[in-house]
Amino acid sequence: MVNAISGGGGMAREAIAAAMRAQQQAAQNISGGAGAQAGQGLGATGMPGAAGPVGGVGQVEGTSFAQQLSDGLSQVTNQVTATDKLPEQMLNGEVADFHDVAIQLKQSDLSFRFALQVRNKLIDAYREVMRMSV
Amino acid sequence: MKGLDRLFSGMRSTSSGLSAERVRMDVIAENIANARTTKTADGGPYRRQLVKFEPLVQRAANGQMLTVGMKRPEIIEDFATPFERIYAPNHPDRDENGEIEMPNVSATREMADLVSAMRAYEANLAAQENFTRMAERALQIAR
Repeated sequence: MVNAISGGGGMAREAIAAAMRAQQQAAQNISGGAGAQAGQGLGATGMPGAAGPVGGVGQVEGTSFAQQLSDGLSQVTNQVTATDKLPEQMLNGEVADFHDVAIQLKQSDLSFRFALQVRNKLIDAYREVMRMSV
Repeated sequence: MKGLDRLFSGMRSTSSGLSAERVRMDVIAENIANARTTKTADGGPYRRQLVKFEPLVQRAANGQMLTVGMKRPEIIEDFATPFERIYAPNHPDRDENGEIEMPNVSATREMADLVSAMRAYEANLAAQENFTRMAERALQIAR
């Protein structure tokens, strides 16, 4: 059962990471384009870094949104990886308690679903913006 | 403590509580199993074991001390309760008066402790379930 979860989890994790990267790229493109339009009144290329100083999601004081997102994702990945190791640890007798297994499963489940929700929200926002008539 | 660790700190606290109660249950099981062991490697009868619970304290980034669950409990021996002497003239471990020393384990007390450990374990489980339910409910905001 755990193997099945980890196998699926591994693939889904990759998919989410890829989706997040694509989403991040898209968000930067959009914010770049919007910033350029607001600043120059022209339809710029909208590529990140091409439009000079733009105000957008990517330019937050301190850690950037992209950085935070990727940090969060890597933490979720850590959780899921820890769960992937559980069957091995159980067989080696390294897991002393039943509840440790259950709690680890629940933690990775929760953090995975949390990441999923964040992704869903980002994609929703992206679609909403794409649907906007210009 | 940062990021996701912080989110799950409650879960880890109850996890350490669950582990501690399990150790306590294991110790009680040991006591009950050895309730009639009259000779150990040390010579005397089996001495009742107890667990000592201590909180796990961590220093936070701002220097503040934070309790983050429990340490793995320490197992100590019960020197307060005396061994019981009973008359058993046929016992191989008898002394010159035909008496033997029985372990200082009282089955009744161990059973009472077992019930209390079980309840404490359940209390931790309930806290755990509530934490999970809270997190799941909070996730529904985003739906």
